[in-house]
Amino acid sequence: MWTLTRIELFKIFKKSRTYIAFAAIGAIIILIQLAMYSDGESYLEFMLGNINTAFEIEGNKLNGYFVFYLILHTLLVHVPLLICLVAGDAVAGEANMGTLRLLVTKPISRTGLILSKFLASSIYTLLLLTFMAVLGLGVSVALFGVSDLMVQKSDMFILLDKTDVLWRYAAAYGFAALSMITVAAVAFLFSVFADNSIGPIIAAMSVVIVATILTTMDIPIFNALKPYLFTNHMLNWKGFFDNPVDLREVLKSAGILVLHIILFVSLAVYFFRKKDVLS
Amino acid sequence: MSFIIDVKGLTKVFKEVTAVDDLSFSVPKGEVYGFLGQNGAGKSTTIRMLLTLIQPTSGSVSILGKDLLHHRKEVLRQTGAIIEKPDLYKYLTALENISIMARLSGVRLTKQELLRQLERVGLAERATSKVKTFSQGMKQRLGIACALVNNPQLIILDEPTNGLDPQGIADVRNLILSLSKDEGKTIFVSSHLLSEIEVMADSMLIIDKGKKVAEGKAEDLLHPSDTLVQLETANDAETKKLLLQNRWSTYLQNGNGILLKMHRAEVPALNTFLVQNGVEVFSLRSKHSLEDYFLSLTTANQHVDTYPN
Repeated sequence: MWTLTRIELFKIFKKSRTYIAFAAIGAIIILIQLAMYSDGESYLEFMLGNINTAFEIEGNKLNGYFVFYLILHTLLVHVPLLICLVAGDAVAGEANMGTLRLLVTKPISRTGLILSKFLASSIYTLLLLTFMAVLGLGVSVALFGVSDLMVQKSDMFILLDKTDVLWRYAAAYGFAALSMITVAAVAFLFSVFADNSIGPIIAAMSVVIVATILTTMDIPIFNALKPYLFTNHMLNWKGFFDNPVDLREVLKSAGILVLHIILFVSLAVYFFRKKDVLS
Repeated sequence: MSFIIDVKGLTKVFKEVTAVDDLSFSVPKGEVYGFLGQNGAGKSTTIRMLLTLIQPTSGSVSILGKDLLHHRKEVLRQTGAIIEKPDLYKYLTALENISIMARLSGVRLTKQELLRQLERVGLAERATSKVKTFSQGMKQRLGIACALVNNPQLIILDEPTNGLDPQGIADVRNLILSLSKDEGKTIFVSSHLLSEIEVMADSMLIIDKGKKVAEGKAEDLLHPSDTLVQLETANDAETKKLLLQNRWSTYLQNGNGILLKMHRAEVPALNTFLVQNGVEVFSLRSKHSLEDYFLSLTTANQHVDTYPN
């Protein structure tokens, strides 16, 4: 299995499209950092609004932790689209190139093949998030320094002590990884049915977009659906920035995401094992 | 006689279309086995079932004495294949492609060993070139090298000369013959061209619309006594009368023009007889009756719609 996964990773990182996501994320992070460096105070004033006049907040509000939180807030909505590029291509791309039939005629099990492809897509996702974390947090801290983190919630501001922040980022990274692997699993499932990668990439993106819209709209009929939508749980990484953290709620969401991953990957394995490879 | 492939009652139905219909055949060990049929006859579907790419609707396949369904990995470990065109990873080099194929086939080869495999098909000098820069013939040769990388006992080639120039066709043909004669490999090769199969195959199977039409040793199916000779002369009626008056009459066939069925060895004697009797011969064409039959199969289902201006 590990040999197969290594081969899959080798193929992923030999493709130029793989680096589109890294380049896009790198560009967005650097742009946000530059923007905050040049005009971050104005942004803070706008964000704080009346709070600034009612309270006096001391210390370096525009610090590295704050800028990284802002980056995460912006990026974690868009990263799923970039992940779909690779996960949606995993099987369908091979079918399109005609190499899927080469793989299936080798002495490896179809289950092993599909799981190694999913594992490789998941490792790619983790690497992308690690890149985002290192560039986002590392450069932000280097440029803006560290101080207490101020987090804006819908009806309040939460101030977290600078010594109480790093573990929250580590936990949020783990949760975000789970969320992104769920998106990868959706794209991967669609990839099994297609003979070119455009279809599954668009289908997976559409599912994420539609489910996100349903998650954000506060309409009673949609509210009934929300507990079952993975997109509703994907954003719960923010729960690690509550004080105190509602661990039960966060773990419940993580569990639901894991169940979604298991469901999507199991379906992918089931259908791939039965698939007639005609391409 | 031991058989490398033993197929019984193989059938594949796609929704309402029966692509392969109750097909049974056996491939003897160490032979080049030709698999003939027109485009759409069911050759690729059969080959895909032999390689577990698609699941049969019914029937059984035994390869190397093992049931394919239950011993898939063991069978595929001893098998090399090219299905239709050799699609490889175009963004990787030839060496990277063959290295991946070796590892997927369960063999670990050193770089030198992989280069020797490429050398065998004349690609050692292009080992580090990306496949996207290769010609169709080079891709075909690399595909063959990848199929042979695990030193398989059975090699399955689906239309291996498609898209190749005459030199490429000759190279592939020579490689197939060398693998069979020098290395004792069993080769199952499909084609829609009888002329291609007849120069390589020890045995052959012809299918049409998914059904078996003929199977046997090439020397039996292509026996020289079944040679058809088509004559075109200045006066066909007079020539026919002349032929009816002597021993050639037994060879004459019914139909338009002058058609004789005879042993291939007698064709020069017929030619001499015609010349000696002053017959002006415009053309004398000999072909095997199987070729005629195969041609009728391959053209029977083809029609061209024409539209008035």
